[in-house]
Amino acid sequence: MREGGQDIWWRRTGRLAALMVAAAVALAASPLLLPGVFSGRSLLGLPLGWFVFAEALPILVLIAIFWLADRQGTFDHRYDVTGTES
Amino acid sequence: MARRQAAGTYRRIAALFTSAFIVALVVLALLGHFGLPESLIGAILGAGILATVAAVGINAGTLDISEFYLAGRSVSGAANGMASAAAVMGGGIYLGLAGALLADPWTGAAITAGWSLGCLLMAVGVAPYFRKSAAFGIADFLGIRFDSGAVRIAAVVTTLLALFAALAAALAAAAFAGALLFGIPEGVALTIAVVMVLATTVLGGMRALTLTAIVQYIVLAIAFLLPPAVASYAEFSIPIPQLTFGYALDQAGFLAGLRADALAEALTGVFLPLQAGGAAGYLAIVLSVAMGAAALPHLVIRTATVPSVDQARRTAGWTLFFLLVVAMTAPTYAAFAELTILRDLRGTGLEILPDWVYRWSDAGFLTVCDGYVADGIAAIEACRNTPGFTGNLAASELAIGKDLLVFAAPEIFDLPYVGSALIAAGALTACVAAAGAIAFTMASAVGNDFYGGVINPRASAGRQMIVTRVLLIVTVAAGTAAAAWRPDDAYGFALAALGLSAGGLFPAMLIAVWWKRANAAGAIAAIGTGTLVTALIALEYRYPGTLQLGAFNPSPLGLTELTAALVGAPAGLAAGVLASLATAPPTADDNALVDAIRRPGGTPFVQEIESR
Repeated sequence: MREGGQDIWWRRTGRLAALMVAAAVALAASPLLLPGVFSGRSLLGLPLGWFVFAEALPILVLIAIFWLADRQGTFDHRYDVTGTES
Repeated sequence: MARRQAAGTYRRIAALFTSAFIVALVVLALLGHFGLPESLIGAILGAGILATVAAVGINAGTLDISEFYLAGRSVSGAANGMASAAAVMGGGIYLGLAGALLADPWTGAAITAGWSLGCLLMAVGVAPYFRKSAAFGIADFLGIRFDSGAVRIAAVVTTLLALFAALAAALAAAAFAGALLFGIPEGVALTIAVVMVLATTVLGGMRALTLTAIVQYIVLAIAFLLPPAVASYAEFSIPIPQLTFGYALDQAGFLAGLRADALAEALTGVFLPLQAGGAAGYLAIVLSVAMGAAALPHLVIRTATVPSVDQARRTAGWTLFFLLVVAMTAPTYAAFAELTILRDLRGTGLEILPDWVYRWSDAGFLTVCDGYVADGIAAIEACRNTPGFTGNLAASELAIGKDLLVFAAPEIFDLPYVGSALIAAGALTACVAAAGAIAFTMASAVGNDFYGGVINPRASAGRQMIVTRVLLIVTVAAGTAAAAWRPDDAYGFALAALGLSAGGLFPAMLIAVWWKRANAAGAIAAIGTGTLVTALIALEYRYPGTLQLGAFNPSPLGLTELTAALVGAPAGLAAGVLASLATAPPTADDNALVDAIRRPGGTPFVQEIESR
């Protein structure tokens, strides 16, 4: 596996990680910092802002983790950083 | 082949135990219906669960070092996720989250959101690299990464500081749950809990911990899901409380005369102090829990038990999944309890309240008109001087302690006694699982990371395991002594563990993986500064005025033992960066080591003890 290949792989890995974390933090912060956007609406009997924060965010993060594992696996194979583990 | 066989073992145990457990519950419920005394129901249920867990733990005894510390690196992501969830659940989430949601819906939700973010941080930033190193603990990982005994020692000290109070709290909560379940004194229940912790750790180490944690998770999950499912079915004919509790809250709000969007009221305008219930405060909780979860020693250590780096990423997802089964059920307790109390108790004569009100109040977990009342006469006396006294209960006059809600829920929802016994059994197993994981992590940190990494690196595998086993007994004994002193805030100590992990360990883990320029001096500065700052703030919060910090007093910020990490972690990170830049840069070999940690493939570079 070429050294240059690992550099590119690492940059893409870091970018993916940063993007996922930033998106999750933004989703968590939005009902807190922008309550007006969510006020007056409800889902399943719950105020929409609280629903997004307490219910939607954890489920979306859960899905994101498995999606990320798949995506990262694709990167790993594309840049040939897997190899055989002993 | 061996790994596939091991994966099959976990699946078989889970399937067998789940089936047997459900059958046993149905039989006990029927026997209770036909007159079996409640004390016997609790004893049979509790003894059966404990005997099963002990048998699995003892049978998993091993002399193989890889099995003892890493469960043979053969645990699938899903099984590991289930075991990890059981390990971190403890009293804090299992008992405390529902009560936190009852007191303040946004605080409870912030904790769940924080755990979600924490699992994501672990999946992207910690778990794959920790697994690649095949280190036996955080201190081992940092010691390998920075090739420094001093870094190991610093990490071991922080690990012990973060986890000791949580161990004592888990044992105390287990004693309380065991006393409820068996109807015995708490001292005897504490002894039983200690025996269980030792049975699940000393002989089999991580292998036993994994197998027993799977059994324990099944118990606690079924126990936690059942009461609100029954309440939801009774109210809405839908046994999925996660879908219906919003409507229960709606009805409760209507009964209490609250506006429908009352849950949003907490967010307007307040930023400081953080405890005042504003948006900044909730975000502070989210970020602190996230950093703490990503660096929680007894959670991180589990990611080394899976067969590959890919499974390590996925295990964070599975851990979150199994945590959410409980965490997303917790609000349903608060919702259905509110509805039941407002609809069925409000307006009831104070002298004819249900027995559970007087019993829990007499035990000190529930107040009527701000007083503890043992019977109807005491209740009337307590409420006589309240404005508008009518002799009937007003909803605001009943206050349930936040740790009580889950225990009292089966009675609030009018379930048969087997429901109460099940909840107590679930709490007991959750706390024993947490105590076992914490004790093993602490003993392993000293026995392997410190003794094997610094004191006697040439120690044989057998000697290291003996030292760790002895340390396990010593650790549990110390935790028991502290638990007997009865720390009565398991929730607070669980949060303190998260805060110290976030402040003391997270910055070092971050720079270890993500910044090649980081060196041993930087790691020591990061750990030391982060731990010290977080600990001082937490101490000042717990015991105000003790430290005489003058202008540096953090009280105006409203930081707690958890959100102290918001100052501790950045301080640690800054110290780590500055110390690294001020000292010699890493060598080419050091950089090659970091590249090896980052690469998912290739040979794990941990120095196997047999080759020393």
